Amino acid sequence: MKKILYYIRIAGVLLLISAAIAGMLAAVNALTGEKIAAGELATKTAAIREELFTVDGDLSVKDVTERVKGSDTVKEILAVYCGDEFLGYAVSVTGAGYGGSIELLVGIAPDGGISGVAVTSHSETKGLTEEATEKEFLAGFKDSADGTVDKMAGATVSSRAVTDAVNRAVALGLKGEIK
Amino acid sequence: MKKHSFFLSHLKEGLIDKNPTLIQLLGMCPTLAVTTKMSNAIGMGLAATAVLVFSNLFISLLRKFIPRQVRIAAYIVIISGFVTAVQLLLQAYLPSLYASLGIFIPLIVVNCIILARAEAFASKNPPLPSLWDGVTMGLGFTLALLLVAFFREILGGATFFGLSLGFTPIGFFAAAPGAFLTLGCVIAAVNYFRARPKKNKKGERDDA
Repeated sequence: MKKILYYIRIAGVLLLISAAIAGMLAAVNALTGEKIAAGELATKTAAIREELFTVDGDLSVKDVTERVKGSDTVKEILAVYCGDEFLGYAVSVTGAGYGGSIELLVGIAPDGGISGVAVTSHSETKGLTEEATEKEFLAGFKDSADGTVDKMAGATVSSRAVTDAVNRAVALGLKGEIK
Repeated sequence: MKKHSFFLSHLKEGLIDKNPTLIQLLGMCPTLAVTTKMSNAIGMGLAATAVLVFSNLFISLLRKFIPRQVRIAAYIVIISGFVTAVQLLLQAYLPSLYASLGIFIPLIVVNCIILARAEAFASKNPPLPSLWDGVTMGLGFTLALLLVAFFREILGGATFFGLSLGFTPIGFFAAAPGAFLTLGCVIAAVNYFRARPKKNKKGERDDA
């Protein structure tokens, strides 16, 4: 009997402590949840504005991932507006780089072309494979006349990952506004 | 009077004599990782101090309630709870520091300093001294981080708190090998100065 009580006491103490900590975290989460979500949205919108659609005026985005066929190959599709004007789409894609995941934003213009590519996070090696995430390489997607980009020597895996990710965004066939 | 001298002497211990990183050699991983910039060093130091203070306080309050056999499990639950809280608060209110420190914020959970102080002090002492132990050890950790970051940021980044100093940096110090070297030199220097024989008031040498 004493042994059982001993085990109950041990389990009980751990249960109580875990419950109390969980309660504390629930409170902190409630306190910070909105601010964190707003911050993430602001970073996303800032990246979109800077890299994809440079316009004056405030951008607003609408999540249309659910409404696009084949959208399970990408992370997120956002329709970008400036006021009432439809600017295009910002597609969030992830590629497998050399040092880990590379997260990209691909801008799709209303005519279906690429308006820009931006990297939002990566773990590439500075000075080596990081080149595949630099603006020079990424600009090649936008400027390409024949739909091809040059592979980067010394950063094959990473540049291929970026290209593959951009291709997935383009393959969605987004064109014009989804009403 | 006794209480007064405890707080002061414990402060000296945390900062110098028993500095968690430079003397006790705890928490070396984050020290190596976040000391590329002094602003990151302070940020990490204060975040770890916050966790240390709260976990020491709560573990001390519960010290008679937690059975010995599950004490480590209980400490980890408490410590990771406070680390997660700090992480959420940083993400909400200091997003740039949160992005700079990145994965090393959740790694505060396994920062040896916190578990070591919980086991060595908070589990055996009343709440107020335990809280103070958290403050002093946390400040000692922050001081160690700052010392290493001072050299690494100036030599390896050619900046001082983000302000450019104008010369070409020595990349070695910003990278991992430079971190080890700098930390080793700082530890060696601190231990050397502490080991030197001191002269007492009369000017005679006193090998303390």
